[in-house]
Amino acid sequence: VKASTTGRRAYALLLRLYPRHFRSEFADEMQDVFESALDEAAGLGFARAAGVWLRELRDLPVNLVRERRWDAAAGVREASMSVGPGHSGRGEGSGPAAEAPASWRESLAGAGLFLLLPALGGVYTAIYVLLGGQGPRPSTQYEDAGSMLLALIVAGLIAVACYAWIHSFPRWSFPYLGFGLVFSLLMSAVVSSATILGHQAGRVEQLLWRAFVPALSVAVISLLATRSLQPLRQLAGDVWNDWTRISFALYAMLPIPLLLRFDETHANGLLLAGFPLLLGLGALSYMRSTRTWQRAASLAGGLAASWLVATAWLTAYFHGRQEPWMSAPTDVYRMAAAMSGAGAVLMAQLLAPALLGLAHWGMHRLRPRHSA
Amino acid sequence: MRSSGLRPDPPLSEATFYIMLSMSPGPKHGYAILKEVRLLSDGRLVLSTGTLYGAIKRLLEQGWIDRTEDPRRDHTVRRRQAYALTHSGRRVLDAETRRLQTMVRAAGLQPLGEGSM
Repeated sequence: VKASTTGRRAYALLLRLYPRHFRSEFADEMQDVFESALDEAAGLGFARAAGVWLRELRDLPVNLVRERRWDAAAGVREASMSVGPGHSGRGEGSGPAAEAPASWRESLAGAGLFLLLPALGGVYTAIYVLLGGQGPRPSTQYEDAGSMLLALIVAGLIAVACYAWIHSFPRWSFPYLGFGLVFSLLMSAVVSSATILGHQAGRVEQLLWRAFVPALSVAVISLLATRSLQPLRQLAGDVWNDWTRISFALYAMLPIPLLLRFDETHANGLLLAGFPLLLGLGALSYMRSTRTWQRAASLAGGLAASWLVATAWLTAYFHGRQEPWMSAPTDVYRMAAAMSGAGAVLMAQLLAPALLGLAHWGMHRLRPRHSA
Repeated sequence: MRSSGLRPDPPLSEATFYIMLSMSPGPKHGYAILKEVRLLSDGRLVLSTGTLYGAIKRLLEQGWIDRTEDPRRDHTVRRRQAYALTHSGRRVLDAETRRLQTMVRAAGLQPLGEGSM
């Protein structure tokens, strides 16, 4: 019995988790050895074949962490030997020197959260139709589809956060981490009837600490997988060396206040989908930037552009309009001023981590310099 | 980047020791090493491919093993990479084997029954 194509492909996917250097050196041989082992075990029965898979999966986390550490240490060794200009090794964000830009794959991963947001409406509709929902909403399927979409989002965020933790929090992961934490914070204040697929699962007044259970499970899974605090130390070091990482995490929450401004309007889906995409462009530019000021400018630019478009549209929409819940027609000048004020507050929050950069700069200046 | 250290410091891990021991009679490819380690350890140590190649990578970097062509390769299958102990690797294995023998001898001289304190 030959190793099944699915098994072969699944193992090839697992191999992709190893560092690039390791893969290029051993992936073919590992695939070959695994297939031989699986073929032989499959001949002895299902349990033996399952044993081969279980062994691989059992050792995988430890092997991944070990190889990545070894790879990082080798990178540091090579960097310390290299004196060529523009060589930055892995230590991204360490000081004002320019770095190599992130790869396009990493950049797309960094902007992925914003690019995926517009698709959520489509996913929701797909679930709604799959559940047999039709006709005017709301209906039972309407609530169930919402629950399932929420479960999908939470599961996706947990998976990404675990991956990011195990891989020492790469730059692209910060929006997901930021969005996850803000999402938990918002959910902690939500009053839920805890209805799951139409079944009442007990009355819950407020989610409170329960909203942070996903974050806690990420920590437990990741600590068990890595059995090390090194990723957290790496996170602290990376944030200390490059404050824009915190801004990037905060940037991920911007779609929420932005889209909430369109509540009670008849904005079409295309317009609403455009805002996350505009923010996504800022994220993409951030990922491709190589200097701190470029990164800060990318995020500030993304916020400014999307907020300006929102202000212009809302001002035009409400011009002379009086909704039933309004006591008087909208004063567009006051509205524009209020939008600008809110935008300025968001901008200040986005760039507040620069204070950390200032502290870093001050410490660097005060530190006594040793002659070589 | 190879170190030329001949003495394992700290002592070899069980997996590394068995992997090197499996190459002692001659060069072997990955799958043969996997099976030999299982055999040598009486089925107690069954390596995953990830663990095997992690160890192989470090042994290569330490210069204790080297790549070579599989001497028993069959022309009907694709060429397999084999690994062989280097001179320094053999000396490390010998040193480790002597260390283990000394320990076993010492344990044999000591009464191990209950309440032997």
